[in-house]
Amino acid sequence: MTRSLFIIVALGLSLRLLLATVPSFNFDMEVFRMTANLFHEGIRNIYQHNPSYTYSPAIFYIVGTLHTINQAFFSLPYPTLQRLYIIFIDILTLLVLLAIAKTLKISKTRTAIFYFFNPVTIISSGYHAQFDNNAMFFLLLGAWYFFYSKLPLRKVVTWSLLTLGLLIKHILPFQILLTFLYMFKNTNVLKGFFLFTLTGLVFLSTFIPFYNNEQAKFVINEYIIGYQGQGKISGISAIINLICPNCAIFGVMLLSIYKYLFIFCSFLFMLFLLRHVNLLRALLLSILALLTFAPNLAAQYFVLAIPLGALFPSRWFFIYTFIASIFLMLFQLEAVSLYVRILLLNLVWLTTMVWFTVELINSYRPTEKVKLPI
Amino acid sequence: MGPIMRSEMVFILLSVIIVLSSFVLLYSFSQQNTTFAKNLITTTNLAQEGINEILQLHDQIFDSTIKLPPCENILDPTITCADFALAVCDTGKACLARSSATYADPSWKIKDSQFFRKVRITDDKQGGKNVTVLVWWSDAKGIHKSALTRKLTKETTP
Repeated sequence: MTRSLFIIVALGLSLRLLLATVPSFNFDMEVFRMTANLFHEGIRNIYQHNPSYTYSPAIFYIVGTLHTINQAFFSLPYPTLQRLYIIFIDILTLLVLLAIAKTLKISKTRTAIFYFFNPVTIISSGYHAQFDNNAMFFLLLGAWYFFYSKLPLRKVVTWSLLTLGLLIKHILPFQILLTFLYMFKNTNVLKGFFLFTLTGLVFLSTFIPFYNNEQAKFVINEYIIGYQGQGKISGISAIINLICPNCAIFGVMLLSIYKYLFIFCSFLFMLFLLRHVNLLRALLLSILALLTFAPNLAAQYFVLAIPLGALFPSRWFFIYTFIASIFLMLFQLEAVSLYVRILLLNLVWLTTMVWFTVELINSYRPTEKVKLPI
Repeated sequence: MGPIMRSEMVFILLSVIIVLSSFVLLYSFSQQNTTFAKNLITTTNLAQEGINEILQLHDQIFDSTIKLPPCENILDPTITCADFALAVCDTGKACLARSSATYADPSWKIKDSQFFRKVRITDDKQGGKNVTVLVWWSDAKGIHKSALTRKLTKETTP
């Protein structure tokens, strides 16, 4: 490891650890803390006993295991423990990014700075400690393993890694499908759809042990698989909520219709990307599209755009980084007016939209044949 | 690995400033956020306490005279369902009291606190009952709640 990389990692890690000591935490962390306690008490159907828990079964086992290890060896406050786990995933993601940068002959120092020294990733991991970076890590690791490594069993290992990412946090299903499609782009893309179906079935099967009473069924159907977000204060959902909050077509709420439209258009957009854009740029674009057009935005999603943005930094990557980091810094503070926080959230959304548009124009290759894998 | 360029140094400097400002702000205001977190912990404890009391009321829950219409969203305290309050009955012991259908039924308020608590009971397909204890409080940002559920069977013992 060269000196400059060592300094970047050491300083980035120090800043994360500094934030990890902050005693306050957000609502999600309280839910994780409660969940860890229930796991420790022997509760196994978390959806029945803690309806505020709207995450995957995998996260239930992760927080439970973290808590058990903590009780046995460390006795740290639970939020600090989870933050340390998320910081560890950040370090692993950095290693994958450096491996990709090496193959693509991109400056590793620059990639490390823009990812590991990025205030969005530092605040997200060091303080908020959400599991979204797990999904991104497994996506990047899977893509690296198949397209850039010369290691054996590439299809099996890549499928396992991408599936594991979905099992932990099902925030990037389109990006997983996109990667599968690229894997078989030059042979038979139907195989990509088949692998994705398999991944989806494995994901759904993890809920079977929990799907045994009305309460758990309600939480799983509505909040986890149905993505029934609570807030309508940003992005497209805010616009729909402003224009016509109670509008329905044939009895279906407008926001629900938009949700299905979003899924359908995302699918079409993936086929477009497959034809006209290289893999990593396509993944970046699909993540920016997710942040731009998703029915509901949550603060933790902003970290998703950073790893690939760090590989291909642009002016809008920097603007996004600084606006998103200011938002992440302020949105947890009750002293800041709620209206200011909503304004900042929508400013991040608008910045993402511009970044997405500029990136799409720059990445689009109308006639030139796209060369795999980069 | 090449040397760090000037533009990258600017990025590093700005990042350090933002992160350190975040640390100072989050630490300084953690007292306020801790109030929120403490309230959440209190609601969870009150919900757990409610579940423990419910376990003592097993026979009353399986009383055939209690009619249970379906509940649209069991986790939303603002929706009216067949709701019960945990009350003290004439015997001096805890019991379930049917509440009125209004949203802010005073019987749900926990004495000398800002918290409300109510109990929802639904039938499950195996002949048992799902008991959900909802505890919530409201502030300028809206309603915040905790909910805990236990499945009871006729044979359940406290």
